[in-house]
Amino acid sequence: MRLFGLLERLAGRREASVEVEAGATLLEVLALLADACGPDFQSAVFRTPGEAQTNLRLFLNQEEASPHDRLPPARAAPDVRLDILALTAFEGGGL
Amino acid sequence: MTSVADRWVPSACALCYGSCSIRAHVVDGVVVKIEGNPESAVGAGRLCGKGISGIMTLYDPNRVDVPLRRTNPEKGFDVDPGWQEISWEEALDEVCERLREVHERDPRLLFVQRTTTNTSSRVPVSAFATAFGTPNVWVAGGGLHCGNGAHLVCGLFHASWSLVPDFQHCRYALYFGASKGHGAGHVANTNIAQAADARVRGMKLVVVDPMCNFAAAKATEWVPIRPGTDAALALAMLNVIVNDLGVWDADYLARKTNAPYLVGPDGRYLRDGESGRPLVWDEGRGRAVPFDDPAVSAFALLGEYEVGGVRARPGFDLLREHLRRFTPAWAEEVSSVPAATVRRLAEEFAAEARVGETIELDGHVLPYRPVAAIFFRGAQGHKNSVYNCLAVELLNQVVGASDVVGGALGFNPVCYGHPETGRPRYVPTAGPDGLMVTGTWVSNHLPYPFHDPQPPRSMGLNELFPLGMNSFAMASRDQEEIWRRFGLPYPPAVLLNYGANSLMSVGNSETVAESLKKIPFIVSIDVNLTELSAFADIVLPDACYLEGLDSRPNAPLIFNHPAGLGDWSWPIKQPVVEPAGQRRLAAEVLLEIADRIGIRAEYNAAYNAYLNIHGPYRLDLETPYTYEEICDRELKSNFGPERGLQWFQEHGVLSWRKRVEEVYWRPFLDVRVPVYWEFMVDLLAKTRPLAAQGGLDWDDAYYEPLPSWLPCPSHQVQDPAYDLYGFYYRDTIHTNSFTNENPWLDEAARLDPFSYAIAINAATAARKGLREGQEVWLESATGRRVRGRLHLTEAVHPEAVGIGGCAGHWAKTLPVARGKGVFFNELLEVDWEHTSPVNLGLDTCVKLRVVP
Repeated sequence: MRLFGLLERLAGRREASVEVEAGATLLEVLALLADACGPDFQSAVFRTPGEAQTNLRLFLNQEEASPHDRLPPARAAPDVRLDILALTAFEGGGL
Repeated sequence: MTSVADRWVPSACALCYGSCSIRAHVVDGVVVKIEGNPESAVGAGRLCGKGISGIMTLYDPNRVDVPLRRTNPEKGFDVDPGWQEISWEEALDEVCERLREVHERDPRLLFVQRTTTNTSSRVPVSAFATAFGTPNVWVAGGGLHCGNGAHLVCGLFHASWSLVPDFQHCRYALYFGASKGHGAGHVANTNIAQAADARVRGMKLVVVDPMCNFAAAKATEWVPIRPGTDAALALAMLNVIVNDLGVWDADYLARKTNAPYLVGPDGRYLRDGESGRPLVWDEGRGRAVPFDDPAVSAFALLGEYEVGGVRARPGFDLLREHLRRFTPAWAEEVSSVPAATVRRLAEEFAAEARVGETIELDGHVLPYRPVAAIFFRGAQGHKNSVYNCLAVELLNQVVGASDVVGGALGFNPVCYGHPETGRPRYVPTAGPDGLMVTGTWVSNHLPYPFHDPQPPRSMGLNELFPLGMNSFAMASRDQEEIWRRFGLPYPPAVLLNYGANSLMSVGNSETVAESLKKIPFIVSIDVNLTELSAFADIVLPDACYLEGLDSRPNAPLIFNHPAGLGDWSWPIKQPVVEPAGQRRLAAEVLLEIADRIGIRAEYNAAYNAYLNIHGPYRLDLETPYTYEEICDRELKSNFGPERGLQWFQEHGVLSWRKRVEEVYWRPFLDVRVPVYWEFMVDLLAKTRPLAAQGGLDWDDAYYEPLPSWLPCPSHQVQDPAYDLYGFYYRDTIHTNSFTNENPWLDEAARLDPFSYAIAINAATAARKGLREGQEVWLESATGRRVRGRLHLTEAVHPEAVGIGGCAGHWAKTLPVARGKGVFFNELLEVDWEHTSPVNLGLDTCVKLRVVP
């Protein structure tokens, strides 16, 4: 995972990795990441327990993804990259 | 015959955020005329006086043309900055050194401020802040004045930024402090034409406003109201409609709102034990079931039911009972609107709603509710803005006149995209508890769902106030004390200002100046040197809109695009002439700054997200694209490889037809809206203790699930000497404080008896011995003063004075604007006391007295 902007600062790192089962949801990935990155990061990522902040943007292998999307099977994509950023303000686009 | 030296260039205006499509006539490299572009739905070929006068902004001899460095370290109102001309290289070296240091130390210490006038600042500036890692962005008072309440309520109920009547079918429009179709701003020129056509067609227009100006002067009826009391009138009308007349749209309320959700004694929904979904009472089966049970045959809206030993009532039943206290006589006392008028307006609105009628359009049989209650700046510019706007909106909701034929329409919350690409596409969806989540948005957070209140991290305390947008604390008297109590690391170390003039656009200049002085380094990107520029350390000369580029001057389409049937149009803004002198486009400058401080990957990632660029057009994170290339990729991402920047530069605009299910979308989508704000119960429980940690005075009354009228500080002034309500209105001749320097607009304003004057009721003036043209002071109850010239008129409420805002510049660098008009905001306090504890809206009304 790559963290951008405020999330990088709150996590104290630019890159992070977690081990999850193939087919896990991105929300589950975020939960594991948040556990490792502390309460400020947690509250920046989750609007309420188990629900991602609506200003969070996830890009799975370069394509925009929803927190409820699942990771691809391990055979299909052994290396998955997830980019995460939190928009400071909303603007246009599909949500 | 047209030669290369004689050409018409399609582009977009930026002399207000309406961003109407234009065509500029360029002869031998000189812009000689600007007119509306008839090929675009945005403006529909019309252009207001501001748009035509853009030539004078472009060729203003007082524009800033070179980067400037301050040599005088002292900052203050009458302090000469000692500007020294420097090269771009020197300027960016200095700016980037400061930004690098802050980025290393704590990115939150960058404070980013931008104008609302030029919409092309939105994405480049917001994306830069996102990339940098600061949450501290605002629009220099925007929101406090114009949208924290109105846009919130429009978002919750219409998935849109603002509201208009369905001009093509509405028969009765009721405006509360709004001027849609009669003033400036969102989609101004198209709305003006449509409003005029509607009036010719027979639409009745009733305008509730302290002043009979742009909308009321063209209305069927002007209803003068005491400022800030809109909720009182609306609630009393609702009481008459629901309790006296027994009129409501039961089918709409049952299927499109949370009115049937069962509410227990604690104010919360009763929920299904398994799914957690809110329960409704199915009268057909005589039992409670989840709201989305497809077998519900008849939703109960009234009555009391026992579910698992708990007594519960539908939200609508609670609303109906709640309304009984708001009698027309009570409303008269609060608002000054006669009780008989309150009752008559309610009767007219209920009758014209035609509950139960349908109409066929394009083969669809749709609800026909040709009434609309519209609110904006006037109703919302108060500490009690949420309830004001909610109460007015409930008029639409109760009769089902919401995004259906003839009713109140949000601007374009549903878009299925261009027929060839299906993009851009956004559609509201059902979120938690079945309530609507907007398809797109324009502010810090979505109107729904909210985040849990959290200890604040940002300058504006936004994490603590999930319903708030822009925050007083960005420039308030008490900001330092509040930050200290919450343990926040502010004041900020750097302010990056894009085109805003917060010294005039927030509140009194003394308070804002003190907040600016605390910031060690200010860089300002400006077209002219303003009052704010005089506090900057570095000024960077900006290209103005006729020299600028933007692939989305009207996006998102909920912000600035005509409602109703017709065309979708996607125009661009492009340079009509090349920037003169050393002016540079701010978007390009920010890209260079991002490269210099090493955040290009973050900036590209943010651009991908903000512009929703997809597939092969996505920005590679490490590639240093130009702004032209980014615009090209956004356009191709939306409209295909053949329609990139070059195609748009040639054609100016791409249009396609709207579909009925995009315009009158409510019957087609399974989403509900909250007439009962159950979420307030939890928000109060979670916000109040956190606010107490920061020592913020508190009032639970702002967090009720159903609206009331709450008095603002201006209503609570006890000293009878302060006997007038001061308010400002948006003059159609000017936009914010920006256009006052334009000589043509200044001339028009000087010819207008109202623009630069203090409008006072003639009878009130006579009673006080005041005369036409007299120079007076206006003094607030807190001792703030402004001076101006009186204009006596019948067209303002007897207890109020109206001022065209925002004028009264004092900067010597603005020789046209300097000393013209009245600086109303100078009277406003900016602190927690004058701020709503629910949405951070500021009280922009003030109790004052006239001092000859």
